Amino acid sequence: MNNINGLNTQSNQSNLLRDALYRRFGTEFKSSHIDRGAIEWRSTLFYPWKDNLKDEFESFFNELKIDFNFHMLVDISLEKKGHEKILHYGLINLENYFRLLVSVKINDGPFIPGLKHLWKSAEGLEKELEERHGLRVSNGSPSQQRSLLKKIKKEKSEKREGIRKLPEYQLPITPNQHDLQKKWYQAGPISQPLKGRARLDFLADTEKVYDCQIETGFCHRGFEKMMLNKPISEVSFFMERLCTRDSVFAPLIWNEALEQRLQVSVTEKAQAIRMVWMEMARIEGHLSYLQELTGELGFLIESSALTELIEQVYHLYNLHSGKNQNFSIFTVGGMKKDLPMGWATECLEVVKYIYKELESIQSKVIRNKSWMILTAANPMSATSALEFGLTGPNLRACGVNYDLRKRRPRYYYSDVDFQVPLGIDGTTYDRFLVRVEEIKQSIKIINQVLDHLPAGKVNDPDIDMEELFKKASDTEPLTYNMIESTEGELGILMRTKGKGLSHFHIRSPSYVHLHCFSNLVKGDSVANALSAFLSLGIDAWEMDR
Amino acid sequence: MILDREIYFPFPFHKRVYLFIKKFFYILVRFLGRPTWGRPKAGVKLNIEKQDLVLLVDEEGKLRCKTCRSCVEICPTQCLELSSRAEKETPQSFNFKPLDCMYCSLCEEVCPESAIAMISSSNTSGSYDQTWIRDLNYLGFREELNEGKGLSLEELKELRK
Repeated sequence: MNNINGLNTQSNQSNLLRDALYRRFGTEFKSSHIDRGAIEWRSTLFYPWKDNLKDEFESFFNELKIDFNFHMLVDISLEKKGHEKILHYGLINLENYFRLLVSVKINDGPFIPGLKHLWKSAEGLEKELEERHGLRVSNGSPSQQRSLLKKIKKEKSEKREGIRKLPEYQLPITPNQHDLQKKWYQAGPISQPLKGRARLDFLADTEKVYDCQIETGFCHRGFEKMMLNKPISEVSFFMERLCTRDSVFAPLIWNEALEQRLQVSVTEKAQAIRMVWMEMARIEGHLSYLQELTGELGFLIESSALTELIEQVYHLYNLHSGKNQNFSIFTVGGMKKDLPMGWATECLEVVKYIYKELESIQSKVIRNKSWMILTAANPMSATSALEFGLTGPNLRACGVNYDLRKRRPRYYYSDVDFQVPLGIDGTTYDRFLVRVEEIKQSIKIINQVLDHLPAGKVNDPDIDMEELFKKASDTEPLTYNMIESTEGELGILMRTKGKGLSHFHIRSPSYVHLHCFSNLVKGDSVANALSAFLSLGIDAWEMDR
Repeated sequence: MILDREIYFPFPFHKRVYLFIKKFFYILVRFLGRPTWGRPKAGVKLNIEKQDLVLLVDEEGKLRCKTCRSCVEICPTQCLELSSRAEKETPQSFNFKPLDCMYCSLCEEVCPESAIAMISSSNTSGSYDQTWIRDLNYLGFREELNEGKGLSLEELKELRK
């Protein structure tokens, strides 16, 4: 096996932490789930939930956060197995880079204890449980909108818009001038900075934003539910349509999860080509981000210059796969096509051109006083960023050194020389700077990989896919796979059953970032709300469940 | 990797003055060289001024055109249509679509007989609404050109002076 699963990065500290967890929760911490070779970084904990165990439940998670330093709650997902309901909580310990997947069986009780007071990111994630699965969380107020559920009555008086209710704004007893001007304003569902469809409501007067309500899942394709009816061979093509930003990371992560699950090795050349494609997608995503930000803040010449660079990347995609987007080029065990003749030299030339152009563009924006005034807004500290569960460049802009390419290197990321840029204050300016630097670093990676491109085949023709898919059975455990995509950690949690899937969940960065945005904007000016939204790099398609 | 400390401060005062002067002189010199402000330079005639197509006539008052079809082949927008009974004869029909034409005047350059020409006209854009396609009679013998007798090559040269 290659170093695809990151086994080489196991440290002694994480072993110590594992032992400590053993000692504390000995009986419940199942050893068979920990030492499983391929997915050793993940461990599960089954904790039986009863109606009268609410305090014990909360103290258990409190202990995990305070004693064992699990500072980040990454994801919550609900799995239904017949009559059983299981909640999966994903936690990260950043000091030792240890991941814990806590699985809790729940009964048909009146409510689930909420974790909002421990991790702020739980607020958005529990909202999903309420609105999609109809569960009730104790700490949260019962939701009124239920947009993700399909229980919409057909009567005309009770349309979908009728169900959604915004909290009524009550005037104080002695209102001043600002209080009288407060009003709910609607942004979206169609507007220029939004990619895809989403709806936000701002309580604002002429200057400040006081509250922000998000309608999760406005554009509801039923993405996860759709996957459960599909055979495994078709899922990859649907994953390409996950977000508007790029169509590289989502199908790649699915294929990697299958490889992990079926224990298929990837050929050396395919590993190198995948690395180049990933970095190319990162360049494309960041360039389109910069283009939007500069365009909306009035630097039109720079934004039009950046569109040319994006088309250069499209050109490279097109030469290899024949399409600009939705290229079905990844398979289990490698790539479908080999590189065409002269692709590598053309890629190097394009990358050199992008680097040169980007330097001239950044010289007009960085240290420009008007740009700095516009973007010196919405600062965020490192602790609050961790509590909100931010990942990717938004987290790095706050100064936290966390990158999955360094922490859990797969392919040849451990052999390649590159650096992770970090910001200071976590303002819009910092998020912008980090992305500009990341483009340069990924150009550096592409140069190094293409200089040492290994020879051989890009996939193993002897693999019989049908036989491999037959291996899957219901007894197999959960598989979690994650990747450092352009905007943060993109992950999937899945369980296979026969030829299809019995559980499928996507952890998308945009969903978490949007709930952070609603807290970031409160108390700030209306003009900064736009730049804050753009600077977080939110994609509305990706939020869909 | 922590980014450079310099990036977080705007340019110092002297640098900003330098950049301003550089940009100011650039704009100044650029417009002093050709003070056109968006209009064409004096002495350069754009093709847009030649807004109308004319078929020229010889001394006898017949069309000079011999239907070699070179203008039809070179036309990038395909706004010309030609047909004749036999080769090397005067055309039976000659249609011109002014809405498709972009006034490149390639047909005039390529014509071996110098039978076709672009001239300026006082027509406004609304005048085209009535005639979407212009036929041979209009192009060769309309009333503006010598009271329906047609325009000869010598007269065209005098007109262009």
